[in-house]
Amino acid sequence: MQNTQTISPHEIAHFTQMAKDWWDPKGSSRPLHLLNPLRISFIKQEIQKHLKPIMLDFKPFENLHILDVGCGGGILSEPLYRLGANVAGIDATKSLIDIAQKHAEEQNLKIAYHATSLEDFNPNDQFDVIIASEILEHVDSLELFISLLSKLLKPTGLLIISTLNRTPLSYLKAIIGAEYLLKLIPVGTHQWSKFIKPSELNQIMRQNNLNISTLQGMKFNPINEKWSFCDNLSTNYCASFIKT
Amino acid sequence: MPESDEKLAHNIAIKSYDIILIGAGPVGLTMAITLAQNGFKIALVEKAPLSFIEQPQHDGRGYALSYGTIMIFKALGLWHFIENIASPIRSIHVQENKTPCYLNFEADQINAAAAMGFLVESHILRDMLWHGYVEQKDNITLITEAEILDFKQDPHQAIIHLNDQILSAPLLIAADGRHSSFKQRLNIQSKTFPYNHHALVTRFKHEKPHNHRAYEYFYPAGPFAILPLMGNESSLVWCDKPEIVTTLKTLNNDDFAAHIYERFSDLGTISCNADRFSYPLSAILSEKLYQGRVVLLGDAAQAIHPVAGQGLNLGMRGLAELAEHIVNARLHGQDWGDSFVLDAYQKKILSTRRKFFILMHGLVKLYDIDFKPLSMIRNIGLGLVNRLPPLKHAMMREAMGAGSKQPKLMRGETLIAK
Repeated sequence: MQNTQTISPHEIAHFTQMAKDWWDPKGSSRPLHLLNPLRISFIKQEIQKHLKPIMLDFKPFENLHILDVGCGGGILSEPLYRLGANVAGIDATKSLIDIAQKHAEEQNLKIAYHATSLEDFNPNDQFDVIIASEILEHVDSLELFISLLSKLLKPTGLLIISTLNRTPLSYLKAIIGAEYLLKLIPVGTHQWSKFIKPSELNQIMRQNNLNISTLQGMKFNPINEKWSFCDNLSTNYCASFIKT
Repeated sequence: MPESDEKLAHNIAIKSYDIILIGAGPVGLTMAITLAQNGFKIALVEKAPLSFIEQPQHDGRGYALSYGTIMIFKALGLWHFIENIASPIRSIHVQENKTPCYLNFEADQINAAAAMGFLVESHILRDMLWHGYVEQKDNITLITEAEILDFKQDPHQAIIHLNDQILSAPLLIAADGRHSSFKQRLNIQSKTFPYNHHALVTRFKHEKPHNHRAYEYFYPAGPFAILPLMGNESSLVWCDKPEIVTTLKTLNNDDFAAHIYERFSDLGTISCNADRFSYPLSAILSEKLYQGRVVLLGDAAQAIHPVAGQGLNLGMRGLAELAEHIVNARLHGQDWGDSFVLDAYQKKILSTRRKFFILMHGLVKLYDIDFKPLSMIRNIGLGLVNRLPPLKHAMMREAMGAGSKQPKLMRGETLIAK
């Protein structure tokens, strides 16, 4: 049966629960806030490699049209905007988009947020860069989702993702460790069965004319709360793809 | 929206900056220069008149600049202004009273630098910073004789009302001294450790060359330190009971010189003709270093005993950490006044200052007690440290600010890779 939906009501209900403390530094989204410097570094590095060899220190993304898919309350959209990008953020959870909008307005950040699923999103233009960070593992039909992303991307555009690998170790660390033992994120945030092996992801990407450029492991140290890059892909990883 | 409310009520425009900095003392001014060099638009707010910053006067104080502090000035391109008038400290002699045991630190015992630090009089240091400010004028709006009538903050910005203008910024740095008004406004509690002595500071001439040696003597009434200036001249810090300090201050030059000579005759005859200044001494430690969008820096965060001249160096270390976190945040598109940035700074500084404070406060309090058996233990301690090179070198490196995990500026690096 062909899936026509990319997001389930169950996922939306879960994230609606998390909306209230989205911007609380000590709240349930703390690990996402902490991930920001590392994923921005990765995004900067990939954009520099493929789209903009020369960048300004504080405005490296100037003149780029970037889509943040599954933007939630705007934790990643805001830095992208501050770094000079023209940013659109979409999320299927309406209450999170409301929070993102309010938070951006209070700081006079001009980010175009839309409460919509990917399949219902119809922008006027394609994007230079699409970012799907910590969202693929919440998606219902990955094939459909990726094909929609590919259509929204300009030719030679860049797709950047970060997600979780489906391995025994990721079950131990991301589910047992992060949700139950350390309580870093609310129980039920992740379903291990929806985690994605890089090889599976790459196969779907190829079917949609997206060629892998970089594949990079990431790890979190709960003691000093620092994210860093690593060679190990067994739990968290990020990757970049070029549209051909 | 707070902005339009403010405008309505006061009918004056709010000027927004990247950062508001309160206090143009040595640490505040250096921070303004650092951030301005890295592209931040700064409002520097000082209650003293412009002449205080533009033409600094001699106030008796000298700063023993550590290796780490000098690296910061080098990284900022400021050191060349005073390189030739700063006096190197090549060795330090630490001794209790007149007992025979002592601890001797020699610069060449560690490889980091030829000198352990440099002694610079306060007005010379502030003159260097004025030159640094002039170079960064485009990014620093200096507001002197400023009176802060009101302060408020919301989740995204700090706002201050001055006589004729309102300023806002996502971050306010309070480098407004040991009696910080922002600490009071925010109700941030401090621990105060009063010492039962005052400090008398001045400089004097001596017959023989000092060979760039500093002397630290610990007397029951308080530490007594001689620090090398240029030529046959040294800076004196004499800590003693308040009434004795008052008497010393009123003596004529010859009598005062005789009193110094009585305690210190290593460098021959002594002559005095400089002004003498006195200061009460206490250590004040803030219990936290930020609240909302206000962060404490320098003496506002912690003021310690000047026994080893480490107060400014500790403030400069805080500056290096805070500046690095702020610039890093901006390079990653983060809000540089949010709690992730300020919390990281607070964590680093609280742990560093714990080490510093235990060392400095412990040293002063330990020597406060005039009790023979304790005195013996102290001397054995000094003797032991003197004979254990690894321990001594570790102490020296820490005091010099050349320890292992230093922030970028203290390693002489710029904050944005070139």
